[in-house]
Amino acid sequence: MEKKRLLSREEGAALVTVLVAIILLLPPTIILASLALRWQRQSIDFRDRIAQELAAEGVLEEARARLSGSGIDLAPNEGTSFVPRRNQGLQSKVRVSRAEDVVLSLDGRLLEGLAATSVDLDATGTDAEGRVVYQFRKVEIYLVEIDVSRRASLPPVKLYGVLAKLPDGSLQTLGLTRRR
Amino acid sequence: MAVRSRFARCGAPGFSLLEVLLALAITLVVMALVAQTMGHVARIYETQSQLAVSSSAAALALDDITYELSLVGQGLGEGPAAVVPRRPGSAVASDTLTLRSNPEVRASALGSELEEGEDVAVDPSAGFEKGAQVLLTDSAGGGEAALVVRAQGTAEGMTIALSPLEENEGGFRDSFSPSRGARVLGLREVRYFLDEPRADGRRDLVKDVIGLGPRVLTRDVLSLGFEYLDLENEPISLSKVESTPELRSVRVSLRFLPGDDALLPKRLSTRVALEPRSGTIDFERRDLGFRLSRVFYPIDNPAGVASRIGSRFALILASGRIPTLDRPYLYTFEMEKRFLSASVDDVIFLEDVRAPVSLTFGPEGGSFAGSLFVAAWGLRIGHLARIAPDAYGGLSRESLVTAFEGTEAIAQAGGIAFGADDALYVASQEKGAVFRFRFGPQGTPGNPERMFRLTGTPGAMVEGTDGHLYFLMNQGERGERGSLWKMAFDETLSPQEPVQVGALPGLAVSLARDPVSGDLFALVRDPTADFVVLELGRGFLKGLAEPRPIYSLREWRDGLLDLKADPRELPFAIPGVADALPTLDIDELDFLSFDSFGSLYVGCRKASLVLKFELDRPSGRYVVGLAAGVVERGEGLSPSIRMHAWKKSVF
Repeated sequence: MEKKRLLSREEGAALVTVLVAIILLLPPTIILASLALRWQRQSIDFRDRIAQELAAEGVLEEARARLSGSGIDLAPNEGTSFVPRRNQGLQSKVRVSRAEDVVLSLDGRLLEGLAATSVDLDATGTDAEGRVVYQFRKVEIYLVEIDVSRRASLPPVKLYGVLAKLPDGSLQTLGLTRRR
Repeated sequence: MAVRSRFARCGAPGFSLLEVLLALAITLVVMALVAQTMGHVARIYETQSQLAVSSSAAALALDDITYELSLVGQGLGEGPAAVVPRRPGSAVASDTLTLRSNPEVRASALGSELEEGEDVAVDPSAGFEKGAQVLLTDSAGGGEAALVVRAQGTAEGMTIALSPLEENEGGFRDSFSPSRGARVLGLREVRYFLDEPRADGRRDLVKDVIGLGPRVLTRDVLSLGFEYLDLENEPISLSKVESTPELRSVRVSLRFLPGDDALLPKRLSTRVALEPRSGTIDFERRDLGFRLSRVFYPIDNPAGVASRIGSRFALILASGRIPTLDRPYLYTFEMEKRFLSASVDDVIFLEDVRAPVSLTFGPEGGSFAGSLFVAAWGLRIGHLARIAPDAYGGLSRESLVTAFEGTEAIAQAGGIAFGADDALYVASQEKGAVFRFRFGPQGTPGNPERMFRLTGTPGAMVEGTDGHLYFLMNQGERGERGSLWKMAFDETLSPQEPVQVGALPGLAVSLARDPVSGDLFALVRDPTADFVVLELGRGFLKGLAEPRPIYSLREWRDGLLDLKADPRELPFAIPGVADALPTLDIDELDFLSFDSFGSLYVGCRKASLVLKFELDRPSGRYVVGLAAGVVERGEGLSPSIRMHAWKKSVF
């Protein structure tokens, strides 16, 4: 009986040792692994976010190009969407809408709405040095809304641009707003 | 039975006490070694964790700064400084940054002179509220932060009272008056700076958003650096950052020492380009071509205009009433003066010269610097003359005029110009060739050398910014096909066979180089008999672009006559001057020239007239600045537009 008891204790020693070792080493291993995964996820998220922001800026440039060419032709209070050129792995939504035109006056006023439509845009005058100057300048205002996402677990980047088309057809970016 | 009992005694299964103790000792030693190793591993893990946490925090701090830099200036426009390398009330420093923006795009002109605590009228749609931070600015730029201490609606609109945000004795640091375009803008101000150092020398990086309060972005920072760069990536002095319009990007560097056991500091760095946040709308009307700035009349048969770099004076070469009989003269004038307010400064008569057609100054840096060379036309024999500078270095009646011996090479000279080899090149219309004159030590020209024979009629010649000579040539039965040609110089300054650069749409009349842009301009008579000025930009010289028409005599004249029934009604500086003016109803032009200030001249021999124009360069005098943001209205988004800047001239 004695022999059998001793043998049974010896037979379990290896298992006990292994179990103890596993119990001791498992927590730090799990912690290390989770930290490594978290860091990796953070760096991937950072990389993807940068890619989203760069893609959003690229889409804004494309919208500018379309507005300055003949790609987008809108009347006031009209809007349209377009599919931007391929951004690999990114989903982009773009909406371009034209707001009411605004008119700037030479005496420093910003005219909107009805006041903007009732002025004579061809009115000119000369200054003391003979420069021919306009009294009013009409500006077309466009709002570009860009939404770029990569995957569901990462918030999309939203970029809003306000563009102005001047009477000579040139485009100017009046402001950009980013939202993460 | 005996065997079984011996086995039972000697081969007893199990461990003796000694064996168990020995195994236990070995186990303890092994466990001690393992524990020691685990200790090391734990410490490494701890250090790496701290490093990772610090690195992550530092990276996130840098990302935060990058993001705020990408928003800087939103809604502020071009006037006030949006990037400020200091905290309010302190000196500039490379480790401190204040960023300003106006994300709500609030802006209003001030209705009256600003006084601390006194009500001033503003645009009610701007929506300023009590307690809001605002930025005061005017047409001079700059900016001063202020606090709205009172806001109230009135029957006429809205008034606000402001007090300076920075403590100053005697109210605001600057004065803000409507006469200087003073305006008040919404303000979001973010400050980045390092807190006081701890005992170990490390510091906290603090982000302070005004109105929200400060918070620590990351700890263990050794140093924080902001470097301000211009378009060429050259650093800008800290003291100039607020005032310069050249700021294009900011480089941010962060050094930190993570944890207590780190051996070496870590460094993160990034560069952020600043984007334009506003647009400008120019009120000047461009479609009349150049802006007329002076009328020279009467100038007998004007042949060209020239000026020496660095001089205030320019010269008009007049060939005289009857060029083959009368003595020509050089009419000198101050280039800065406009219209007829300038008096005639001097007239230099060229006694021994007849029928001059082309002029050029000698190359700078050589013995001919300041000397004017004139080529005189003759049916069979032409002459070259040199007018040397006087004792004061300018051209005057005291200048020595030397007419050199006549030669067939200059007969019917189309144009003259000095080449890179300091020799004078002459395009001969009569010979259809380019000749070269080399000068002796005494300054006298040697015999003309025929360099290249041309199939056409060469004309005006100028030196391009690339050091090569360009000249016009007309071909075809009636010379109606004009083109631009290039005569290059190789490494040994030897002229190369001319090659055609590009065709011009009509008869090439005159050629000049704009000293400001470096571009060539050609005067061409097009097939409709209109005289147009074409800009021959770099694209044209490389064969990539067509010449750009920027002026049409017919359109300019018609536009002018439409605008003013009588061109004499144009506003001129001196009363009565307009009465002496000729009619500007001309229909042909003979030459095109630039002075060294970049003003353009065209001449009409038949009308004895030279017109001076200022080119279509942005004057910035009638410019209104606009900024915009996005606001949520109802369920949608709308752009919010504000005027943020008005040039002083507008008022």
